[in-house]
Amino acid sequence: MHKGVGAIHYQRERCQGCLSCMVACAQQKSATNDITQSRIRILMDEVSGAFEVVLCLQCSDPGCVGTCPSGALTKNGETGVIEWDDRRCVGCLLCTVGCAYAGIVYEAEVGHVIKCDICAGRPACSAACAHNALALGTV
Amino acid sequence: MQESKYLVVGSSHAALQAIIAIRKRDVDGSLTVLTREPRLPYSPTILPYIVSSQKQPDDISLCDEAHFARNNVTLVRGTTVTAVQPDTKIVRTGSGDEWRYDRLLLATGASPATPPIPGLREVPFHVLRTMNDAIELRDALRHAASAVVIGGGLCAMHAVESMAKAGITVTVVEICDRILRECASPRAGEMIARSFMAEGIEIRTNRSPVAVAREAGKYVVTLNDGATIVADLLMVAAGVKPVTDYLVGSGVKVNRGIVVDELMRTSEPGIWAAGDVAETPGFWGGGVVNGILPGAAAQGRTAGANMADGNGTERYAGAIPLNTYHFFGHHLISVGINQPPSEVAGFEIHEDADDDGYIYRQIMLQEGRLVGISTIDDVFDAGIMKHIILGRIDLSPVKAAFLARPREAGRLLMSQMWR
Ligand SMILES: Cc1cc2nc3c(=O)[nH]c(=O)nc-3n(C[C@H](O)[C@H](O)[C@H](O)COP(=O)(O)OP(=O)(O)OC[C@H]3O[C@@H](n4cnc5c(N)ncnc54)[C@H](O)[C@@H]3O)c2cc1C
Repeated sequence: MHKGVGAIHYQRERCQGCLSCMVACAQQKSATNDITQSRIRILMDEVSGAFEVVLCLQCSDPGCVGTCPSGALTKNGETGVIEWDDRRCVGCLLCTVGCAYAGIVYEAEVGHVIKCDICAGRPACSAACAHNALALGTV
Repeated sequence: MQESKYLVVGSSHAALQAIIAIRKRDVDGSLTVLTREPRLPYSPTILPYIVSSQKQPDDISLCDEAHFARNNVTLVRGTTVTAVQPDTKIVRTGSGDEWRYDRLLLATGASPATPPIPGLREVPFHVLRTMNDAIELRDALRHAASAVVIGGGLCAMHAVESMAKAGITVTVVEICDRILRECASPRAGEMIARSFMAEGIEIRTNRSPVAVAREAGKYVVTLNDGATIVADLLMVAAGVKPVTDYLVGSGVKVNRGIVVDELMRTSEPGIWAAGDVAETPGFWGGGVVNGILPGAAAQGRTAGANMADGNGTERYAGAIPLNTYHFFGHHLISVGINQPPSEVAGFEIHEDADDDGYIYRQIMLQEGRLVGISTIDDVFDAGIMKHIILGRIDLSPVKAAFLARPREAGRLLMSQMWR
């Protein structure tokens, strides 16, 4: 699988696990502080203490697009972003079968699948990160 | 005689993914798609939403003509392939045209099977596989008060829900002891059946129709227990069969589907097959007709890559069951097996159900490795679980965490793996 252009790049060594990115994303996407709304997820391995990220990689050859039966997901040829069209989505969750990274996920509280859309090129998560662990760029 | 380096038969998921995979590797080799479908490509999976009128036929195309033009692909719609001659590399169509190919992909999918029920072939009935089927069924629902549905699989139950929501009294006749065997464990299947029954739908399992007739404008279906069901509308959704009629006498090996190897090659050189028409290696061995959209997409990619490369670098990992099913506001997700095969030992089943709260989770391990996970209203990331199964990842070190919180444990494992 190929990784795409325009995805948000996570620098693990810089991350402090403060979750500001998740709060910023939730605010941007839902105008709440509810981090289940966040399209970026920082996890901690409780054994090693290491942080990990779960995020859409905006794959150049996206599996989610290939398993969508309603044409609700498309790869934008210019921005590289995989765009989700809520008017076309039927909520079948087949896209989540096609993604090996949990880059598109269903949250019951939200009621539909959610994914990172890089905030039209100005990602809120990246702006909120005090440690410069998140930058828009080529993966 | 027309010619195309790559000739693809069918225009659904397997075909569309193959085209992308070919064009990634060969940007200008001539590529032609022949499809019997007159419409722009759409997914059979979307059809229940047409039946329920949630979607309109023109809103759900998977791509448009511009997509084919951009990729330098000739799309020939409304053309049925009727014969394949591997020795001369010629394909014949219903209108008598001939196409010479260098590399051929058969992605003709499946069609509804007609069970051998006396009287069935003499009456009109509904099926659901093409857009026309969906439009006919949608329109018929406006004039029916009652329906009988033969079969209790995914396709059937999707249609049944639409019928019930349209105010129709529905009876489902299922030959097996439970509905949705392909995607639900016995316990999960029972929970789903209960929510259908709560909506007034009657489900008769362990029953098979022995006669179908039409009397005074109504269908009369007689069951093997002597009961009769009278209804305005009859739908048959008792499984599908791969579309392979055009291969008779071609030498291309067909078992339950077109037999392919892990590179999606058929028995004949220069011919590949993918999707619901193909019988592929199963992940746990044997030959499998997977019959699911993600399988068709993955096989289409594999076939396309190998057709263009010719060096066999893309291997299909093998078929496993994968299903997401939305019913009456609930989500079932099932990845891998949901019942251990009786002849195999060493399975560990962790089943956790809250019948009233309507939550279900089953995790099945074999020698510390995940072989199946299914849930109702306890959503997990299906793609991650698929890779945990296909990667035969040893879960022993994280077993307790995985069983307690599979979604979080799965995400952690995968993000560590993809670093
Ligand atoms: C109602 C319904 C609900 C479903 N729900 C789900 C679901 O929830 N999840 C899931 O994973 N799967 C689901 N499926 C199955 C899924 O749609 C299929 O697995 C998938 O469509 C297979 O794709 P395919 O490309 O192999 O073949 P198909 O989609 O069957 O397409 C076959 C193509 O070949 C063409 N064709 C056939 N014969 C010829 C010929 N002789 N000449 C030229 N062209 C020909 C057809 O016109 C068509 O374009 C559902 C199916 C149905 C019917």
